[in-house]
Amino acid sequence: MEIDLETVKKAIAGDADAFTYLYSTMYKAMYSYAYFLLGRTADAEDAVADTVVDAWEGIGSLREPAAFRVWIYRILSAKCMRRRAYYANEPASLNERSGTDDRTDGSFADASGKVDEALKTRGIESPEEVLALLSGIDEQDRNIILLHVLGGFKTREIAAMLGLRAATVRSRESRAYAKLRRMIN
Amino acid sequence: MSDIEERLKKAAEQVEVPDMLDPDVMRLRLDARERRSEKEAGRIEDLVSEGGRTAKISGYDEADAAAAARELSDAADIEKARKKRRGRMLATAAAAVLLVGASSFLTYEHFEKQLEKAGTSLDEVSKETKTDAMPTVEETFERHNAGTMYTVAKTDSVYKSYVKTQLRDRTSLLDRMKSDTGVTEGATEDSAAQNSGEYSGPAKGGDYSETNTVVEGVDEADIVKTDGKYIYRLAGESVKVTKADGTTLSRCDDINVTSDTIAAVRNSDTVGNGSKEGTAGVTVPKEVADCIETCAVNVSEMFVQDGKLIVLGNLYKYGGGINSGATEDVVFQEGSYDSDTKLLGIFTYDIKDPENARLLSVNCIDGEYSSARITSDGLLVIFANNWIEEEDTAWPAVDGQKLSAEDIYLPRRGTGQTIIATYDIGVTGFSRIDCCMIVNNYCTQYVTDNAIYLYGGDYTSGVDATNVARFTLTDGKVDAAGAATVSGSVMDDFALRTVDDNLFILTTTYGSSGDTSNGLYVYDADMKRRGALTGLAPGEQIYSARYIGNISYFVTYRQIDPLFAVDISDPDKPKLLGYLKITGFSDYLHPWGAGRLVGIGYETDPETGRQKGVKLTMFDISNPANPAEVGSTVIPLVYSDLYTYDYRSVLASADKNLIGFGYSGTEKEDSEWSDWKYRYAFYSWNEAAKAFDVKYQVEESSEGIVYQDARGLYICDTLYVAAPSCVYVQGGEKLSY
Repeated sequence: MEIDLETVKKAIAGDADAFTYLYSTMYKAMYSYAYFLLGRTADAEDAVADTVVDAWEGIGSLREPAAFRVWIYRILSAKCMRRRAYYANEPASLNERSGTDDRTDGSFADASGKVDEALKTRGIESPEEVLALLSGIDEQDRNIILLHVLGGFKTREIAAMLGLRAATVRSRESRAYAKLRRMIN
Repeated sequence: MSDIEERLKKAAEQVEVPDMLDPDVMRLRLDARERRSEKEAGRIEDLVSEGGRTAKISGYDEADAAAAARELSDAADIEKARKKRRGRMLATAAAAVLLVGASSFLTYEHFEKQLEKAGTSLDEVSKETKTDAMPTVEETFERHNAGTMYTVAKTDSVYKSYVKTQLRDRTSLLDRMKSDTGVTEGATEDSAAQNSGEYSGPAKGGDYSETNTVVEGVDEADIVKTDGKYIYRLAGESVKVTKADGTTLSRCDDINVTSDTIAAVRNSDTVGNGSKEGTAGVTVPKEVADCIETCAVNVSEMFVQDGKLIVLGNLYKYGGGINSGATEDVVFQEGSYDSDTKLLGIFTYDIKDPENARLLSVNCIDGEYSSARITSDGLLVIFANNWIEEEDTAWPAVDGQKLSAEDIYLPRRGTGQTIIATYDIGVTGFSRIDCCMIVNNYCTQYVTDNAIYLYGGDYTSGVDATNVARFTLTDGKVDAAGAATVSGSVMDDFALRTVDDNLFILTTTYGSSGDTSNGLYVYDADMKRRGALTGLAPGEQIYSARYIGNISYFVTYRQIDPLFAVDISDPDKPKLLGYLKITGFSDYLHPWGAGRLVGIGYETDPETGRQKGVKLTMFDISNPANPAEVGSTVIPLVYSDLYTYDYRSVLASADKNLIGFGYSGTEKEDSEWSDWKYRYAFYSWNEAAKAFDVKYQVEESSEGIVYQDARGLYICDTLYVAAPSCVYVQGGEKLSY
């Protein structure tokens, strides 16, 4: 996922149009990332909106234009993880305990009658289905997978964003995928 | 892996992005931000000038929203979208329902005095429930149903047909269960240990810190432990043992659980029942013995108690062949989990001499490690998860013995399995007392000295709700007492509390249009509803909670952060006593001696709601009806991320005047943003200055400290930070390994 460095530099210099343009190339991915991480449309919307506002305020001091995507997702990830509650319940992840959080997926509450419809017309690839699938894994692992698949970040970048070692990111991701595969089959 | 990636990408394409996030709207929002924030400031002030009478204040003002919409744009669809979002973006002042009741309340001291009057101290009460004769494994007792939520299977054919039905009907992952509320059966157990008030910190028996747990007296397994002389850390397949002698750290031999188990199996003779008994007396169950040569144990968590080390970890087959001192990186490679054994191993070591640890016994459960506890009676409770995938594998075994239908609880529908096994870690040996399995739809466990609560999301009705089932824990035996479905979602274990077998539970309910409301619900030992306080802080979410004595404190969040105090001394009538409004919000609350409470959280700008940094707050709660802020300290590290949501990483001790936690973020250095910083810091409260001072702090950038897995410890007067790759010591040299 390439970002035009020149546009970033303009945004850093205070060009609101440039910043908005950058946002327009990223916002769908950012929202779907937040949505699958949090499981609630309202929270995901808030997280993205807050992130964009904070990013606009702070971009003037961004040193490395090439780090723009990592930087903005780092903010978004921190905001999402901070909300930490209200996800679907999970069986314990392979490594971590699960005693900390109990969550319910608010998108079910949001969607309510819509879910039934979704099930009838869509397959296992509907957002609701994928959300249910993802709810079966630990939020940290979910974050890693989403940053990888939807954010397009490399293991090293994810490791830097989350303060983990690259090996840890790899092993957690691997274990999480194994779990997801079992759940599907 | 690519199949899942494809699904995820396809699903992501179908996600509908809200109109509010449209770039054109966002641009306008960035431009208009200033005007909106002025309005908000006014609204917040209005809120708190009301007092002394019942007042319900709405956070949404139609006129405001309409005016703002006109100012920004006259595009018809944008305006529609705004109204639909109920002014979320604009007027988001919190609403509060304030009731002032003249009620008596109990502080922790008062509660203790009452207990004393009743003739028993807390210690005596807990001894009462402990019997001398531990029941043997073969003894059976009749299990009761948990209302209509979980029913004992009783016969093999009932369970078999349930499994068949589940596998046949499983067309989607959205299991729809219909569950009733409140109907309960079954006897409650006799009076059990009273739960005491707040957990105030220091270790019993030694001057060293223990794992920060939710329920006082109930130890939780963790990745770092200390016994006051050594620091134990988990990594890959091993337990790292580090000698901590004041400020001197020295490396001792790792305890490699896989190698030790293999050695025990090899140096052994096969015994009649199939388990290998080692010459050194180590019994290894057949299931483990059969696969350990081609597996690696991934150590998850451990306990260190009374000279024993108990390690819990799942066995994984991996393609590489025999493990021999392989590092974490080599062992757990991608693609190596296709043949995971789903076998949880429980490895008990004698560590009276930690530098020469000795494997004592190995137990196993068919499942993946979930969590574990040791109650104050020394009862080990282990939770493992499994799934119904095929008929053949739907009968998990504990220590090689398949669960019987009498030990299995069934819901209406569900394929998740929670296996509970209880063990006595007595002086004479390690023996299993009981085991059972609850089939469900994924639960979290809350454990006290005499009860286990399983709670999880309810997906049946389309409204936000949580199923809660209560199981008694008596002399290690597990039996259902009742179940109920409560409105809303539970934030974490701190939202629960038991007092005299009554359950107090705080939830946030999400309505279908994104509105929220909070409530405190009370259930008795049979899970029948006793009392409730609802409609609290509409529009906000509960963010952190702590019960101290007979007061429930909790913090809600959206823009302002009231700290609420609810009197729970009358289980039938919880009463809102008061609240305190401050800027920022607390992510984590910890009692601090008599009449005080510490909050770790974030400071936010009251006008914009934007985060300014990490904030520590000292609250005065000597008068719960009027909580007050004594002082606070802000660490100006922005975009910060507190790692207090794993509460075990927090070290809090009022006695030692220490509060330690991890966080990360960035700050301005000469008008540029610094590298991301990862810190673990210890603070102390300075009464004279009404602020917190840093006592000791470690910091790394990028891949250094791994602050999520770091633990703050103290041994006597020395502070340590134990991270997966190193141990820091205040006043001494860091030891990296």
